[in-house]
Amino acid sequence: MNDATHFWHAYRTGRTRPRGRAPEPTRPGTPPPRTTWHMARRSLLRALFASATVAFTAAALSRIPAARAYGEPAGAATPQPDDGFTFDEMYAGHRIQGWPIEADGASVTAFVDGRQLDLMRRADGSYLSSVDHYESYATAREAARAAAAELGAARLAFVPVHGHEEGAARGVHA
Amino acid sequence: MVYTRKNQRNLSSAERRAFVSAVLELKRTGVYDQFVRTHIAFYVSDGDAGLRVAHMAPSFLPWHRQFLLVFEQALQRVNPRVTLPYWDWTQDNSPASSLWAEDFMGGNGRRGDFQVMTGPFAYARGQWEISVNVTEGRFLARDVGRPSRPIRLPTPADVDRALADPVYDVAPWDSTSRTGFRNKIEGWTTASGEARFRNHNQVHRWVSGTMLGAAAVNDPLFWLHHAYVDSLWSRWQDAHPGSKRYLPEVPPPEGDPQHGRVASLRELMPPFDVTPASVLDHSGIYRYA
Repeated sequence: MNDATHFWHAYRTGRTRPRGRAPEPTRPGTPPPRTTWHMARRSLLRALFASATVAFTAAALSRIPAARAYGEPAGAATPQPDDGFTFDEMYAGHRIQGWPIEADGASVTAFVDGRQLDLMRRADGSYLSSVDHYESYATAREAARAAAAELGAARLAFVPVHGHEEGAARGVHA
Repeated sequence: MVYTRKNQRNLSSAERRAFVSAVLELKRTGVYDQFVRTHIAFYVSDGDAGLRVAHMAPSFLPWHRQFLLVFEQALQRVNPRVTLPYWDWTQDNSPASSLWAEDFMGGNGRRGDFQVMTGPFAYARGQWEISVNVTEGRFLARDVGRPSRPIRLPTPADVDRALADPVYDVAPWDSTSRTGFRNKIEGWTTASGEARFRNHNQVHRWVSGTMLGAAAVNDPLFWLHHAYVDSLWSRWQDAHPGSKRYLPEVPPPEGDPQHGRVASLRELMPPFDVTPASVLDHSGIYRYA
């Protein structure tokens, strides 16, 4: 886990820390400690609540890919096998998206938080991004994930650094 | 007059100050950012079409030699006594090195956003606002050694393995060339895990932050790193007097996948009007001490 991912985990852990006061210590004259049943019931209730939260969160997250801006391709109704360049997910606190800009996937484009991520192709078919120029990754998705993790709290520039070459439509060729 | 490029650890405090001042002056006048842009524009990958001269190509070494020389000349227009120092990362590989001093490169980035907070290139000093960047960040960032997923610097043995190769470069003249001094130093592999980082690439990754991205030149450490890489090329030439000093000697023929995509010995390396052949020997301009 790199620092950016660690940062993100810590952030999420911080948010899910139990709220409310710590239990009072037991003193003479106070009610006896809770029974096993009480504890079990509380655990059960907590588990139910937690799973409900998870289910709710999952439902909410699963809606994210549906929330596309106008002009972006609609996701396939049924899950597609991972081709490595068609993706839309949250990773390390960033939304990463990618899709082919030629029907056969010979040319692809990728975005982080809606901003274009420059991708380049190595002769062995792997990908490198403008964020991480000295290592390459097997797929565009992996390169985008690595870029997202590397970005941490930072945001891609509005204009991609390589954008002057072929404009915003610049993709990489297979 | 042949001048000397010194190991940064041997600079006097006056020499350190002179170097830093000249760099800041180039930044102030906007000249520095042109070097950042040039390096971005000529970073062409070998899976993409077209001529590539700066990376993943035989001319990785001569292109950067010329890039450094032009930068050094710009520094010398500010102060004629300044030369590029080099950083021997096989020796000065700890945060205690004078490299990171307050009066030189400044230290590591802080936790969280990796912003460099010390030294002349800290954003808060007001003299180093990054204007050409991959991110929206306007500050220099470093994550030295990547403690969350540690990576080490190349060792003398790593460098020696590259220096031992008697052949300058081999077909297909790109990031997949399995042998040859050039790619062993540039550092592209198809390995996985720690082994996939080598020498030049590995150092960019070790410093991380700004140095990892397309706008790596924004970290002045870039020049010290590449000056050392340049010195290794000289060492390789000295170690192999019988080897061809540059390959390929002639352009790959029509039909070769690399035809028109690499600079052979006597072809120009844009944007410079020099060929690899014309920069093979730097002994009339500078030497390494």
